[in-house]
Amino acid sequence: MIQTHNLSKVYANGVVALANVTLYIEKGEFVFLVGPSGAGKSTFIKLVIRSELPTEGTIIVGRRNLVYLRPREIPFFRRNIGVIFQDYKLLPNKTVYENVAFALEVTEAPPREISRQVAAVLELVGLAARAHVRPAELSGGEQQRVSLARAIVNRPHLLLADEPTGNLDPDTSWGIMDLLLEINKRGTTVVMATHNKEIVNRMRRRVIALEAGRVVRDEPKGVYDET
Amino acid sequence: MRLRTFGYLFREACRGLSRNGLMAVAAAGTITVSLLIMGIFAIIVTNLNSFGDRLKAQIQVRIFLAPDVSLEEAEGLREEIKSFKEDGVRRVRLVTREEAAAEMEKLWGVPELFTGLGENPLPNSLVVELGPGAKVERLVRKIKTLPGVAEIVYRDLIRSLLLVAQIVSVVGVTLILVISLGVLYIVVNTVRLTVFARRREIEIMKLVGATDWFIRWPFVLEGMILGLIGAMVAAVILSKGYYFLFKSASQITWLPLVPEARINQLLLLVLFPAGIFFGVAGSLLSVKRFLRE
Repeated sequence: MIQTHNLSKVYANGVVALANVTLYIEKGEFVFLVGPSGAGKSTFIKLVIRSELPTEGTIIVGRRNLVYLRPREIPFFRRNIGVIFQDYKLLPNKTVYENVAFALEVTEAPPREISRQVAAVLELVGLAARAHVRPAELSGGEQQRVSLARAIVNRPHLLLADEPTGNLDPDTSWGIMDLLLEINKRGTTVVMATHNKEIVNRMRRRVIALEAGRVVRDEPKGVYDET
Repeated sequence: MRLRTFGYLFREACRGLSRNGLMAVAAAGTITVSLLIMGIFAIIVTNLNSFGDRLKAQIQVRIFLAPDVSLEEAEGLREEIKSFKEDGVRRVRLVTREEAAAEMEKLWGVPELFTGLGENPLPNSLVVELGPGAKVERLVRKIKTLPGVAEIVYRDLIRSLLLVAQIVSVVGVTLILVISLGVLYIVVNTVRLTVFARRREIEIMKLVGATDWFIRWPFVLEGMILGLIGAMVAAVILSKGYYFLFKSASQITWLPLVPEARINQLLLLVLFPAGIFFGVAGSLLSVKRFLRE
């Protein structure tokens, strides 16, 4: 699903975010991306969604080599990827339903299709009853579930999660993890950048550890840190 | 783009306007004030042009012919000059030396003025009457090249007035262009504030795979609506203002203003496209920066 070769990213201010990262993430995998702040986790996600271009190396997502992706192809490429963030990135003036439907509106999907898919995905994340409230009226966990619903409503092959539990209490975090596992079970590849030691250690999935932009550890059923 | 999608984008534009009400009012207000200034200049320039045309219509160009030009040749010249319709020639009259002498005797009130001299020193001449929109300078240049023409005379005062009117028109048009750039700058900055308030929306749209045009359209439509509102307000103010000016100036015979109907037509043709242009260009330029981020 994701293949990188000697992937490097150096920002204009000279900061080396990623250095010679070579990785292969298979379709259907559930991968944790761990490491201290500034290790390059978020940069890796930005490169995968083609929000940034690598300074060197190649990155292939699906079958697309992102280095050669033309700017006008980017929106269509992104429709196959779901992304969730620590700060949810919801539109405060839209209802839960509208926030989720938004991802389908941009694809010009037919209205009937939109309402059917949004209803199904809100059912999955347990927010069907709250479809017509605005994000401000929801708890952090509920907001993250809306964000997750929006990310998967397009049925993406790949779901990227950048610190999705960063603002949530442990119980709520497990609720989100259960959903991510469910989505993964249905065939979507999940890549999650996290600082949450407990979640990583309990789930025992593949762990890729980054430090100063380099892969320092890649274990199939890893833990947060070796110590 | 599908009609359904356009409907969605139009609804989004209306929502955007109602959500950022104060900024929308500021942007529409900026466009209104700018269009008012532009409209005033457009009205001035139109009136000056019309004034110039009226002056031109009063001009008589008198062509004195060389002594060796026969009456037949003079008649030929008259026909030729009469054919310069594209320069605004309306009528050409041949004034023979005898007719000229009679005219002068009548004008001075001295009968047989030239009989005493024994010889009539006046040449045959052609009097050219011009219509509105006449190209006097060009016509004179053309006539000068014709054989048999000795001298061309037309009223210098009118020429000077025309020159002043022409200069004011050029300055007016230049000012309109300069103002346009200024307006665009102000509109871009005002709209940019509304776009800045919605940069998060743009970021999320990009994230879920919206194309750049899908993102731009609501802003373009908003700009269009704001431009139309601005143009409408400016047009109403200017039209009413001109109506009162026209009414009070109707007594001044030497200052014939362009009729209101023509000014209203001008406002319609200038302000509405300009308003839409400023609104749309302002939106496009403002969104551009956020799309690149």
